[in-house]
Amino acid sequence: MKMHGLLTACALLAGAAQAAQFGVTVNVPNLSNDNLALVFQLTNSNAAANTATISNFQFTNAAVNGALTFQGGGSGSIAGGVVINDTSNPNLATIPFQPSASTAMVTFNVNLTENFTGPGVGDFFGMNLLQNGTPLDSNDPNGLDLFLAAAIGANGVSPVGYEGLRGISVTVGDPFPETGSVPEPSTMLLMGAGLAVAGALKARR
Amino acid sequence: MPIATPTLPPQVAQSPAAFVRNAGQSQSNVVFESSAHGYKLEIGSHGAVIRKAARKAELQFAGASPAQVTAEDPVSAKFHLYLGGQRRENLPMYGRVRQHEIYPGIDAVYYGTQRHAEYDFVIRPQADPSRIRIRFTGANVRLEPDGSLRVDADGMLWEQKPPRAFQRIGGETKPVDARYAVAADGEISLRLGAYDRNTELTIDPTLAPFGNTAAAGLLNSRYIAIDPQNNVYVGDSNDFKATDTDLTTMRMAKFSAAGTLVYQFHVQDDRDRSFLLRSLAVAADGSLVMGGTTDSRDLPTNSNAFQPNKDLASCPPIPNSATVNCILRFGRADGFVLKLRPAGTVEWATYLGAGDRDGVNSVALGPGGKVYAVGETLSNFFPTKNEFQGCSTLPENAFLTVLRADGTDIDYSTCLRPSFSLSSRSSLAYSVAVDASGFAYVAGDVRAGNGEFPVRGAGGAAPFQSNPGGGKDAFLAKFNPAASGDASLVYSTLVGGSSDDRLDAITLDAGGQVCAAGRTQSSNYPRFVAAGSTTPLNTFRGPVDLAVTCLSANASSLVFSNLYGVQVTDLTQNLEPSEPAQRWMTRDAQGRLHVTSAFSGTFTAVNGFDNATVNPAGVYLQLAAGTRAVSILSHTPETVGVVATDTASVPFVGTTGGIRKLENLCAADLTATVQVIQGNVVFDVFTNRFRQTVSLRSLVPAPVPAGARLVFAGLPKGVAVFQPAGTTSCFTPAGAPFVILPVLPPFSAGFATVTVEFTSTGNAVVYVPKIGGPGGGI
Repeated sequence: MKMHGLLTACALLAGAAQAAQFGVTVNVPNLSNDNLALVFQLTNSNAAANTATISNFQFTNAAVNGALTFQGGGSGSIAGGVVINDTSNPNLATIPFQPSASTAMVTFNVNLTENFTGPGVGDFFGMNLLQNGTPLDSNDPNGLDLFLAAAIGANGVSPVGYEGLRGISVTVGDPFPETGSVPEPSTMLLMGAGLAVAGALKARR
Repeated sequence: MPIATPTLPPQVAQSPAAFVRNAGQSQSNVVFESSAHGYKLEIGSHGAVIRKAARKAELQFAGASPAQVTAEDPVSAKFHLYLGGQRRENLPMYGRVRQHEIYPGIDAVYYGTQRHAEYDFVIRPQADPSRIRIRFTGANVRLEPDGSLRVDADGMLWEQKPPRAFQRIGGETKPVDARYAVAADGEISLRLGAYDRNTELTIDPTLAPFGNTAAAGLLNSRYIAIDPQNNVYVGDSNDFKATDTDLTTMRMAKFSAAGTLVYQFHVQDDRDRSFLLRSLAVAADGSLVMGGTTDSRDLPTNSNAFQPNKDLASCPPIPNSATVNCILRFGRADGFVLKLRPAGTVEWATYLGAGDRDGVNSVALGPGGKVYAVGETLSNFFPTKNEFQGCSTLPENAFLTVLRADGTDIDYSTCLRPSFSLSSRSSLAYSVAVDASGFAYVAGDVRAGNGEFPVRGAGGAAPFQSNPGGGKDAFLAKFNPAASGDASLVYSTLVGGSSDDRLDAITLDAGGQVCAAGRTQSSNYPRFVAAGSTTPLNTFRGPVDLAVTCLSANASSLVFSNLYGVQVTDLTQNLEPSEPAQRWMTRDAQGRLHVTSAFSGTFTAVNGFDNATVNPAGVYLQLAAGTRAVSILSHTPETVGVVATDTASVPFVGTTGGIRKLENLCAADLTATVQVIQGNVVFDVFTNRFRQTVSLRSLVPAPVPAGARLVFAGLPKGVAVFQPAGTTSCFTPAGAPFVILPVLPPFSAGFATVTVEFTSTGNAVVYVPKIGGPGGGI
């Protein structure tokens, strides 16, 4: 599992030229014991195919309390990474969770491809927060109560986080490391290659 | 399928109805009457009759006493009546008529707008309103759930809206609850709530043809004119005594630009002879010339008119059989020309004809106020002067006559016809236009053999077409009435293909170019667009297409000629058997040409514009100046008449159902002049719809008026606009949904935004935005 996690991190960094990678922090204070859900969407608006991979979920003072569900194009797992592609419309992935304290937090990484072709606008990645099935209000200027918005356009992706009532906030930053130390990228490559070889030799013996 | 919004010109819409005393123009039981745009109301001592065309609803008050009828609220408009040779000018008109004491202490007061009549019951203190019992004679009356009355009378539906009752107490208007009650026998009574019986009570119903809008013209309003001050003139020949086919009355109404009725003019034969109005021409000072055909001896002529007496229309003063034959044909119709002063009284009138049938089809005003008239005559003694060609005994001879400004004599008159007087030959002139120099341009048709019809180009040039193409051919001719004889014909050319062709509406475009509209059955009708023009050359659709043809200054070539065919037929419907239905044409202040034409049959497409299947009776084309690119304007379900534009180039058309304001059937394509910035398509998890914000602004300094359309072209299958305002019909691409836009700001003023919602069953929400101009259909 740990090796797999290291390989996953390398893959993310190696693919940075063709995808946007960012970390997301979702703060949900004062909603203890509420039934919440993260709803991710990848909306298809053009001919270019795109994929959103959401991974490295960490729930602090909160826990998943239901099954991951998909609508449209989607696959994967919370542990291994949730993949949404734009083969249909809409394309949604929903993760139910419940805060256990007044300072709950969820973090995850997003790897979003940036393929764009005209005419019109590009695909769109976003996230809503539901409370008992109803979207929580946010200051999303689209008026759709998104807490995370990332439009794929001719100039790539610029993800934005929004805020809501009762101190709910979503911020966007660098991708989060896997749980444990964070070596340098070149070291990670060497380590990964070495580990792979070591593992193969062991299996042969 | 978008249809013309039945919008009255504001001058007409704002004008209240006006009443005049019956001075013989109506049946003897009528005391006062009002001929508004939407109906005619006749008030006697025993109730009232409201008419629309030949249908009527008779309103009576059961148990009422015969009432004294008086008029109130005099208005500035005047009524000019010419009846049976008698002249009654400047008769006063009034805004209201009162029937006194129909029941003790109760009056009925009538008034109205141009669209619907109103009557009030005025109940004086202590009078008993329960005595009011209303009957519509011979009608079925039904009380509707909304409290209105639906009256089915004489095969026509009328609506009497729920009554409004009120009292004025202490300077305030206090409503009183009022409802109708309908008995099993159709008698209507009123149920009132509590009110102060010591104060006058007013009960106010409104009566109108059911579904009445501006289009419900009682006046058959096909002949209209708009003068440079935007006064509107509306006229036709019609009769309300019997049926629509009895043409004993010719009317004209003038509405000022401010919405005031200026006059009503009314000429009527007292022996059931007819007047058939065919053309109007309005002068800058508001005087009006009318032309047409009549078999009445009651045309209000002066003794010094060119032909003051129908029976004295010219016959050769030779006592021989020709004279006898001429006398025997006195009963035939003659043409007439009549001029009204700006105030609506007759300045002069004259017959124009000879012993056999003659008719004026078109009049136009020339320099110095001279009146130009064209038509056809069967009379070989038709009056001519300085003529290019005398008239003959052909079945029909086209003629052009120029009358002096005072109607006392002719300055020029000629026929233009085939040289052989055979029953198989004929020529008719349908339309005339006059330029600032006094040259006359005439459009018509001719049936002739090779070399029989006079043709020439101007200044020695060859005419565009010398020989007939087959069947009847259209002709275009230019005359110089200041010249005499052969020199008075400047040019004459045929225009036609192998089947029947006709040009029957003529106008001069902004450049002095002559353009004419007509109809053709020839698949090889000559067509032409200038090299490099983006206007498509339309193919013949058949069996009859609308044609628009513009001729070079010397008549040797075409400047523009194109066809506009409908899927099945554009044969015109004749309203009256004696009238050849035709097209009308005018030029607006922006130089665009407007053409109206009646159509019959199933209207499924006009070249380049495919529309849903409907059955119109009128279609209007607007040709842009210069390029002649055509916009199809609205169509209406009535037979159409004259098109006229006001000083703002807004087109109006007279129809058998009233005046209509025209709107673009196919919206202008504004895509290139509007910047559209599409926002992201985002899925709304709450509504399960995809939402997109679209920002738009004009790319030019001027804003785009509200009502333009954002068209979603190329939406993939399975993607739908959730709240479309409609779908396109003739705007490219056909069938795409659109939403109505607000005002789009000019370039420097920012963006307007609209939010659009889509539903998708899987495919991407992607489209090509197009912008259609505001107005009418799309």
